[in-house]
Amino acid sequence: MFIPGLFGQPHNLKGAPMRLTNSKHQLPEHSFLERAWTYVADRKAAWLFVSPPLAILLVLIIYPTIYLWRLALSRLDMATMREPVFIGLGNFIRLFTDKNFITSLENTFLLSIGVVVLEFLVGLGLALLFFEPLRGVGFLKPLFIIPLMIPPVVVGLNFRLILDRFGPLNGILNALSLPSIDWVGTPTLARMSVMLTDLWQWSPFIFLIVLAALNAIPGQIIDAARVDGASGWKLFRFIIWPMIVPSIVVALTFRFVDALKLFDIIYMLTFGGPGDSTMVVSLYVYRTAFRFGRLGYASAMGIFLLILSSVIVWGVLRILRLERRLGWE
Amino acid sequence: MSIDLLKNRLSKLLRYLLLIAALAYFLFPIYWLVLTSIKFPGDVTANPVIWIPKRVTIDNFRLLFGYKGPVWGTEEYTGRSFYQSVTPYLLNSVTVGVVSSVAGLLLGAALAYGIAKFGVGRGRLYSWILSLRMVHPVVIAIPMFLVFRAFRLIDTWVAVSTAHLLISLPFAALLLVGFFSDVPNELIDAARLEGSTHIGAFFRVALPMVAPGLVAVLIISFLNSWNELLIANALTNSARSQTFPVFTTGFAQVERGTAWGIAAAGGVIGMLPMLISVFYIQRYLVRGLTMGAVIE
Repeated sequence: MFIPGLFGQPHNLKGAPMRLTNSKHQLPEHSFLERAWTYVADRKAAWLFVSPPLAILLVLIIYPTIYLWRLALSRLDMATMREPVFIGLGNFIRLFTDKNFITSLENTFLLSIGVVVLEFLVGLGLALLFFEPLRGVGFLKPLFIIPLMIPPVVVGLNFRLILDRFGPLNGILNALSLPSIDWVGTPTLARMSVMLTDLWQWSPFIFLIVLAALNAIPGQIIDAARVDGASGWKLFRFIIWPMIVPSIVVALTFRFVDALKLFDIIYMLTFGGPGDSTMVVSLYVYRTAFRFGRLGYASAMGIFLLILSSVIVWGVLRILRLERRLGWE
Repeated sequence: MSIDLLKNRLSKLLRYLLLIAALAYFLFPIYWLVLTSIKFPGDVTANPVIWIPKRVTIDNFRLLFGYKGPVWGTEEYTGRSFYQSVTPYLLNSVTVGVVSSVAGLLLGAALAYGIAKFGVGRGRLYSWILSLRMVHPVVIAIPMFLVFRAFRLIDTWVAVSTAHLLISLPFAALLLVGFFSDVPNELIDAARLEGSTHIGAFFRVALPMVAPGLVAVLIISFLNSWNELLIANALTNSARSQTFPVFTTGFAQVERGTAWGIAAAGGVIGMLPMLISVFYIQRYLVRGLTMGAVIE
């Protein structure tokens, strides 16, 4: 492709020609000076696009993050709302001896792992059902997607209605002449109810990703495997599975990271109860900050979460290998 | 394409049954919510459970929108005045959603163009923006609360929109990087050769080519903002700026059964944006939910 330089060319272009990253075209016919100018002008154009959004992002992120660190090292209560008093690592020391915080962390991980496993099974099953289509079920797909983007608050409300003492779930039990169950009454049942609710909302996510991965497998590969005599379980285990595993890993990682943020459903369904059996870390931090007004202490928890999620993000990026996939690196 | 995994071991009937069971699990809650919203109060927690009501009403919706006249088909019964109208909350939600998603789209598109077509940041920037998605919203809420408090912006739509911009901007940027990468470089070069500026090429060539993506990003950003509870709850404290999810949490404290018809009516309203847009965004949802990491 011919890219004219700025000097000695028939057209006097307003800007410098673009040096497109992905194109392998060099400009060997131009002098060093020309190329240097092109590069600078190009960088200038790039920053024209990138700097306004980046500036806003940085202001919105860096300033609050610095503020968060400062708060984490201070005592600041909403009740008094005096200037933050510097207390060093006091908040962090308190954090690691706070039984409730540790319980909430345990609950968070327990629930997250639980829902990810359940959603994986349901999502994979659904995707396989859709992959070998039955007559006339294709149009049903959007119906399974609806849960994904309705407000989690509404989902929590919805399941509160369903799990109610006089709700439909107990209605079915009664119809089978079984006694009613208080679905959020005991720790185990409350956790199960929360998982059931999250399962409803998010297994379509796994379903969509796995179905997309299945549909992306070239038909020839499956045909070739079948010619070689593979079918059923063997075909799935040795041909299909290795090809969809990367997508599944991505899906599960995203789900896990999101499950750690579980807040709305619990807010509506159990508010952490009974006792602290469904108290998750986001609700605990939220309560500490905005109900009890201990902003300094809550900030220390926030820092802890930030570090925790950074570690997870690092892991995720390692797993996803996004740079390589996008052709950078 | 078929892999015969299920076909060989499960009969057609069994697969249909499984599908029906799955449909029942995923659709029943929606059916129940709609059903509860049109039931009379006495029927909501009736024993035995009423699966198909004999009488229906729209009075739950009227009460939800602040109607105070007679309801439930009686002359003398007056709707209880302590039900706050949902209208201001819906307006707040729409304001916050539109402002944050439009601003996020414009800024995110510029950022995405820089990353996709100029290679700004060489992937590190991309990773950093992706990492923003992983950050816990409560971590954002605390410092934002104090910052906005210092600017006396607590309980305004400005505060909530700005905080939601922190979600919508990275979202739009990451998603659009994928879309812009699909725009052939030759087209942009051609526009440049014809004398167009970088900005001109961006607006006249690149943006129109990713128009479907822009619409999808706008809708999903709006839905994200519409659904978001934690940050909106932390930054607001009155009907002046509280959004719809914050309004809905009010029903969590209500004693069982007393206002559930109205709560369910609220839930139905809350589902509407998704129900309206599901057919359009279903193609983009996987990309959207994984910030472009998975492309369908």
